[in-house]
Amino acid sequence: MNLREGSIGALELRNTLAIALIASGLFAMSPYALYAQGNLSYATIPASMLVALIVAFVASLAIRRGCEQSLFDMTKESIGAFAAVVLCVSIVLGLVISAIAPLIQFLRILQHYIFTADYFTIGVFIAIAICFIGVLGFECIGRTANVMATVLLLTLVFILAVPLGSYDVYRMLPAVESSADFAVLQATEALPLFLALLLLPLCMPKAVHGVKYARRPIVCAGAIAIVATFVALLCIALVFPYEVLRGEYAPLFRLNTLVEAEGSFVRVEKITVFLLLAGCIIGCAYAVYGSSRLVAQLTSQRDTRPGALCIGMASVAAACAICLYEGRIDGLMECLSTAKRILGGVMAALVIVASVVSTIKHAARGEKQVCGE
Amino acid sequence: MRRIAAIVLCCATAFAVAGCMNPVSLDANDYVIMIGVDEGENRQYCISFLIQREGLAGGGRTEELAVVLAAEGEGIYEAIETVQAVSAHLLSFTRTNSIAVARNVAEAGLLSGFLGFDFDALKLRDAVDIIVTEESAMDYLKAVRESADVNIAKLQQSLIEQHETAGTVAYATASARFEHALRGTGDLPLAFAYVNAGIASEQDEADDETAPGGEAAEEAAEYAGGGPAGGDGDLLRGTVVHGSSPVTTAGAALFDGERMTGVLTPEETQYLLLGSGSRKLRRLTIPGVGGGNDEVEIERMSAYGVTITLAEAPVISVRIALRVSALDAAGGHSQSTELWAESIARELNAVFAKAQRANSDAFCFGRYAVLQFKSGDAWREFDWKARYSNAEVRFDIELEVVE
Repeated sequence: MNLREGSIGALELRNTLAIALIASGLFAMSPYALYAQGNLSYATIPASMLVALIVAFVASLAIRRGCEQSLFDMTKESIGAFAAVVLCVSIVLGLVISAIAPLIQFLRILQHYIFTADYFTIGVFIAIAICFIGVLGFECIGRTANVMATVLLLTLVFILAVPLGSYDVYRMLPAVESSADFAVLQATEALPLFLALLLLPLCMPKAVHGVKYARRPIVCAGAIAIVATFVALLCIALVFPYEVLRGEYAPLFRLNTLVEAEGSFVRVEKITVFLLLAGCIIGCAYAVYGSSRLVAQLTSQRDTRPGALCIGMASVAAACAICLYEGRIDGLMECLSTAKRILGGVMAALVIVASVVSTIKHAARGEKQVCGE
Repeated sequence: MRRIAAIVLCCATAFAVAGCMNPVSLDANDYVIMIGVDEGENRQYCISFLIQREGLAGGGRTEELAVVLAAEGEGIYEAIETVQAVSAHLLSFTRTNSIAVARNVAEAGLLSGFLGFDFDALKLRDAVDIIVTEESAMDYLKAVRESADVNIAKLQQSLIEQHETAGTVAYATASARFEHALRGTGDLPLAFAYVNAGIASEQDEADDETAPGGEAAEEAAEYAGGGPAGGDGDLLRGTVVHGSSPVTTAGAALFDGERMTGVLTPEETQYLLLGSGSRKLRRLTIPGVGGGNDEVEIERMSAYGVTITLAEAPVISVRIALRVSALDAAGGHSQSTELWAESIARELNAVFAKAQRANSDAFCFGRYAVLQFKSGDAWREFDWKARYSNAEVRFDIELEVVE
């Protein structure tokens, strides 16, 4: 068996999850998709994250109450094996999307602002990093996240603190082009990414010392990610109105453009891009490993490394392809958006139904048992 | 061991990702410090590039270290291609800090047409500042190049410092201009600049003289007047200027949408910044009763608030509270708070009236009007600029004078 799970503690799990969630929250959706009809991203993305956190929390409670080992055991026990398989597949798809989505934005940022090279050339370097860390396994990812977490947090704080004098409320309003209907669609589109990332630890109980000990780091990571994402997106809204944001590739790294001269911070934006790219790589490696782990479980494979390699390379290739062909294939992004919403709905519905049914079943039996862990 | 491997791996990956792809030697690039835009004779624009050739630190003569290349074109790309054909190096815009636009180009409304290119494609920063020059932008670039006291790499920083401390010149980046132009929340004034002809001749005379302080240099040093004669180029109002840099930034260029429609003097620009709520403004010149001026230092802007009553003729109420100390009370007010407040309000009203006549929302009061709309469609339907010409303004000034 070479599942490369290892064993990580609460701190590593919290840091890994927080990095992955923040990377998805800030970079998973293209600026045009976020700001085409207005700017409510500072509400919709954190709200979507909160919903995902609540679902994950409810699931962890239900698993604990039912004395199940993992999310799949609980689902299998409560609503059947087929539902467990469907849930597993949907989580795998959610993880793959959460690996691809931030990569698309970073590839665009690197290709547009820094390198004069094509997407695939840039993607090769990123793919090496993601695949290598993903192949090394969950414990390596956790330890790396532990090392990078403080650096990434300080980088984000730095990016948001430097343009302090440029923040102005008038740029936030009006918040919408014509109506706020797009907000719900935005929130539901982001849901499967966050949900898959938060549910993964519940699918690998041995790696996190049991679901009982995973609940607190999941909640902590979710709370940190919600606050960080809200603050970052709010700061972007205070610097750029949505009319300008539609055409910006990397608003987070351009916050200092209103009053910027040849000084200390002129080149720092490029350094911050690479630092946050490291965070994105960690988040993607977590998603890649997680999806390969679940695929191995589904297909009864004993080694996650081939899956991690394949999924990692395929994710980067897919990100490059989307960067290249997005504007050339009509309706591509709309299809993907709809698919994401359906996926999120299926995932959330299965988890909630399984949790409720499991809770009702155990309550109906009147069981009071101490789970031996 | 795994942790060390992970750290080493991340570092190696980061270096690999940050490594040069398609590396280009620094010597292979010509770094454009400033872009000049004039009206072309055969094409729409004549675009000039002030290029830094060698590493330039601090002052010192720049003639040998910088060069101005220019070409005509329908847009910047055409000019770049022409210039590249005669230059051995690649033009790099990563260090460009200013775009100088000739007044006639701005008055013809051609500025936005020129700025419509993709900044990212040229690696040109959105934070580049935009200056309107009284005469030819190319002459301005040449004057900058020939000036011994101008650090061309620090032009933008110098402009920002002058804008923030003295407040005698407006300042706007391309990014800020795009924002207001897209939203219709104001006509952001741009920095106004010109080549001081008197100092330019002093520079030339000094070059010809073998000994310093010759007759020609003395005569040129007594030249009274700022920019070229005629029009409103004489922004310094007969100030005698000594020095070796003919490059002068003073005042603000007013815009009505795409078109330049007026110029504010340095003193008027101070009041423009005050009325716009600039909290970094440090000095203020208050006209006195006897023809002199009182100079005050603004320690703090305690409060700034704008209330707009939307109507066919919007009513704009501006409340400004300042904590000031007197630097020079030559104006005869004897530091009377009431008289100072009245003078400030009067000057603000005068500047507003001048901007309104030029149909320029130079104070960007649109930023406050837009807060009352629930959607972008509703804001555009209101058409703030159309109603701005009928707007009335009231400035309520509160002063706290400290010793």
